[in-house]
Amino acid sequence: MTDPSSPDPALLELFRAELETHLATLGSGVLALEKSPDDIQQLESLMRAAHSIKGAARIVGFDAAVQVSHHLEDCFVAAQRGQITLTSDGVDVLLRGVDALGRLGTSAAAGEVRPQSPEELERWMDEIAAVRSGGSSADSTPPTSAASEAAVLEFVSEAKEHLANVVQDLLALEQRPGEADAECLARLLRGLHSIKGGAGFVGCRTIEQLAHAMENVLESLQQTGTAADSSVVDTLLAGTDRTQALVDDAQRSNEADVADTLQRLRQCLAAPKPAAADRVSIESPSQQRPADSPGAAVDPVSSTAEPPRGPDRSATLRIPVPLVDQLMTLAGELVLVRNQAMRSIELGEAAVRPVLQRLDTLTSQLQGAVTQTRMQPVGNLFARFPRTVRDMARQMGKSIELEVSGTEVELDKSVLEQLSDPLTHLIRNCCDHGLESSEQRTAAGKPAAGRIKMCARQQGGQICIEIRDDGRGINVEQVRRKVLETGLRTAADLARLNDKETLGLITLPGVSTARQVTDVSGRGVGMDVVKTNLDRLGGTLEIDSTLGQGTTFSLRVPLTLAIIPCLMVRTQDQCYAIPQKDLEELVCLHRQQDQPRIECTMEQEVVRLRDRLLPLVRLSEVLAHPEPFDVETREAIVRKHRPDGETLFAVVKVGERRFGLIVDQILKNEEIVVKPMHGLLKPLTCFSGATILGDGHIALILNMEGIVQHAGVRFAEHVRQEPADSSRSGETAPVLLFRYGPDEQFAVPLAMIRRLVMVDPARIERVGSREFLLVDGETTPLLRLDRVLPVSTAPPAHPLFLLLPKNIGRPLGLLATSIIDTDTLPAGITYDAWQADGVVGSAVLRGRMTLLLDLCRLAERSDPAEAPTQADDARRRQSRILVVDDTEFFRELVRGYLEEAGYEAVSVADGNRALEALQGDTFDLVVSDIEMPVMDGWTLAKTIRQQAALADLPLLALTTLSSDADRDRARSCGFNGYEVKLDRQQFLRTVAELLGQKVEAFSS
Amino acid sequence: MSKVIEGDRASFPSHDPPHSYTTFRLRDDWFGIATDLVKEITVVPPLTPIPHAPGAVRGYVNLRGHIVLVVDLNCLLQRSPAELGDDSRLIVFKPQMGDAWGVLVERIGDMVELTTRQIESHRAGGDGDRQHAGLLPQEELVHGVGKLDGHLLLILDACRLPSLLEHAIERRDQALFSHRNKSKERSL
Repeated sequence: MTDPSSPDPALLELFRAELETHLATLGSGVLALEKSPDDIQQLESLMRAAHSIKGAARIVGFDAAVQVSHHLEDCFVAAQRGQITLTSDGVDVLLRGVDALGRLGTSAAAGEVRPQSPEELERWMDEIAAVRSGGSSADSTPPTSAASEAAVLEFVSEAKEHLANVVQDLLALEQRPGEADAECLARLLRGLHSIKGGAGFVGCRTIEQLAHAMENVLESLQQTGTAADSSVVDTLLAGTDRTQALVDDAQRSNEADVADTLQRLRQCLAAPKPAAADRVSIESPSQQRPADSPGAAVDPVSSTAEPPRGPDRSATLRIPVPLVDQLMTLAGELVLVRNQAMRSIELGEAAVRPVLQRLDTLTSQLQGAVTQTRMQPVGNLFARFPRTVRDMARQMGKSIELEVSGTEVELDKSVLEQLSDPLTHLIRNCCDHGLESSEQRTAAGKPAAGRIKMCARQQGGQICIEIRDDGRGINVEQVRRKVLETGLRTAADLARLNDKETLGLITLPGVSTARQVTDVSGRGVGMDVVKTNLDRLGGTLEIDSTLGQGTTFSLRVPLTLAIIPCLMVRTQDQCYAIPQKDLEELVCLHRQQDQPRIECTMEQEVVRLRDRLLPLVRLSEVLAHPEPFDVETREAIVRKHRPDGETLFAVVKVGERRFGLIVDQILKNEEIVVKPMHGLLKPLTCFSGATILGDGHIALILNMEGIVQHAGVRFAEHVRQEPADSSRSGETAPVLLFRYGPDEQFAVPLAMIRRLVMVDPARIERVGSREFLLVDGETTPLLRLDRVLPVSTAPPAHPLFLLLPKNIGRPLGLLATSIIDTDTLPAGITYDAWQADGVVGSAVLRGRMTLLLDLCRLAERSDPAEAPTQADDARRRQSRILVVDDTEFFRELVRGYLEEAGYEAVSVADGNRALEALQGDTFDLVVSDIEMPVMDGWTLAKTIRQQAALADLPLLALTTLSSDADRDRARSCGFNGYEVKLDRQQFLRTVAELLGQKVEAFSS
Repeated sequence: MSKVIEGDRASFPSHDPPHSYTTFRLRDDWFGIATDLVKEITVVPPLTPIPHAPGAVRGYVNLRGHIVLVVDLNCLLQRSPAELGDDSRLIVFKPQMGDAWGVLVERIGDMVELTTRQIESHRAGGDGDRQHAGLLPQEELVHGVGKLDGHLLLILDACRLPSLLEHAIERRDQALFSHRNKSKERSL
């Protein structure tokens, strides 16, 4: 039997969870009080939070927590009534109280209900009393009139829950009359006490009285050590029945007369020692009770002695985290089984397929839902930082403003928890040596108050958290010196790094650029911890700093750790997984004249891909060498491999750097369940985990950062290739070549493709004449080219490929029977004058006539509801539009769209030519690409805006850049609109809008 | 299976209860490890090699949906690598030995019950000790020596194996790198 003074660990855990939810409110609320000390609403919510904590603490019998929360509540009430005004010092005391509660919560989690330093608590009590005595002492109970309807409802559902438990415990007490079950008694007292407290709070005095009377009876039993005989239990049960009835109608409970029940309860109290007498044997107490009870006939409620209803369950439910974790694991395993089943059935019977498809769908949905249960808004974590910043600012005498945004972004709970330490470190760093003192800032011409911006946003399967300060920045030279001093890198190593990479070295242990070690930071340990924590999460940290202007830390972490989409590749007969998040594109080089070739610079293989030099790493060599590459190894590798035949590589990114990873074979995309590497294999940094594939084989998951380190990749700065021939009409767009029917070859710009997936024809579902396929849990309509174009039909093929287009605003998959390669469009394409059918033009590629497709238009044609409108009005005919794009393909495509919609369109290849055209001619709108040679879109817009005659000319940016930062930049450069390449209808709508604006401006 | 549990020993403190040992053969020598530590013994599933791991690590296997690390006990004991054959078995350890792992042995023997009296302490320096001195380079691994059907049985202190493996990985012990990696280096 448990000692009643040490509460149930499960209860304590509940208390801790409860405390945590309210602590956040308290922390942020008290801070807000400092700015507006008489915000009644704020005080109200603070008061409630403190009261809830008090209630919860009482239930678990945690006296220290009861006292602290009680004092806090007192203060809030007094402030609310205008009896005291909270000063900064007062807020300090309050905050320390909040901290004390936090510490008590921590000890509660450890099963300890006594404060660790009672003296400190005593001192605090004195201080808070001083704060409180700013006004006259008044009773601490909140006014009954303040109890809102919601509070009453909350009380009712809580009281029902407690009453149900009380009844159960009373019955248990009766079953074991011999020994007063101490634990049971303690539980009863707690339950009744909570009811009493709640009733008092919402002003239900009658219920309060009843609960109090019952509490007294039980207390007398506890103190005298008397066993509860059945008559006492009867009376108590009658009391609970009465209470139950009153609770059911709580609003009118005060009108009820409970004198008789109270009287009987008091009698029990008066004769608390039945001693040896009256030890009635009890066969069936619950049935006996109504008959035995003298008040049964009088008390109408007890005659309806049905078992008390269970507690009302609200729409949310607390679930223990281990259970959620277990669900997560099970869902993960289910995904594996699903994959195995899908694979084994590929050759199997047709009858099983529909069942499997259903299993497939359900598994995906289940996995999604379970993952969702673990998601929590990042705001839960961010909420603590205003407090951190405030305290540090006060401590250091600085003035710091913190701006937080993106709090609604959701993250897996475990990721969120592990982010807590790194973020705290970074914030403290910013406060301590990132930001200067007010005097230094004023002297440097900055606002006296330093600013820290913290924001979170989702990017694909990752969350990016940015912490930006406008402080002194990090001195790169100082970092270099410091790293040299520590001996962690040689001068030669450092010479190879650019500034940004050098900044990254501050995460090395022992490297700190702080001039002095303060008690806050500067020991060079913090950043090491940040990096280690992020590594564990599979996240990355990037540091950007401008001396004198500030520092930005960008953290990237995966949304969830459990299941990740990967590309499976094969090298030397083993399967490896490349996480999709690291992947940019796949490239296959043939040994042909017009192909980029693998070159060697120093002892590094590189390939010139589009406009940049991409370092290459051979996975086979990385795997074959257990030791990190040294110069000899690198030279040997370069000598050994003479590029011949095909070279297949994946372009992967590590932070902002890219490299090509050469593999033997690309297999397929697969969602895999990540299992961590064996604990002892953690030193093998080239792998981040392992997984079991659908066929039961095991594949290792590649860690790109580790591979970069291992292979000692040398990154060259991006080189921009000048257009070789200025007479050529601009840059060429990379395209994907594929085949559908046997007769034609097709091409689609890579920029228009989101993803390419391999699909099993058996999984296609048909509805009437339309076909669908489930891709990533989304029902995707399929487009067969022979349905919309006069081309040959596809032969039966297995597997099929699905091209998923980018930015067309609806799901669609274009079917292909085989993928040929990627290539660049040569000059000399014949562009069709009329592009309505979805073919932009044709060209000879790889010796074959190739049709260039417009995915957006094809998508419209495949869906009759989306048929393009042919209506044009008079205004359109008058409008002249200048199209600026370096890519011939897009230039022609956009011009085609515009002309077809009835506009007059002129196209040029870069900003300079656009300016020339604008000098000699008048246009109503300019549609411009951003990334162009000679003069890019930013400069073009700025230049146009500087010319008085063109100041009102609407400018529309049309680009593949899609980040918010790019949008902002476009706006600041003077663009009026921004469209991402390329949804035709959306584009035309914006064009019409921009032209409309101008027309209205003229008419007004 | 061993039925010797702590409670028995406590109630008969003067008694010397037998302990169960799982025996197996590496080359021509017989070894034993405490059966308490063994989760299961299984035929060896297909191995997935782990590049960069020391030679003693033969790879991962999929054991009914769980990934288990397979270590060549021969290599770990600084003997030449085991050849996989029909008699090869994988001894998988219980969770108290750390993340799931097991050792490859060439042949599994019987489970034997030995009392401490039947095991000569290796470190006591008795006659038996001198006879097998040098049998294993890592002396601290040998818990003692027993006799079984006329041949010697080296009782290994299996609890020391994880730290041995850990050191091998940390040092990237060249001596423990297998033929697998060497053959590739030669091809360079």
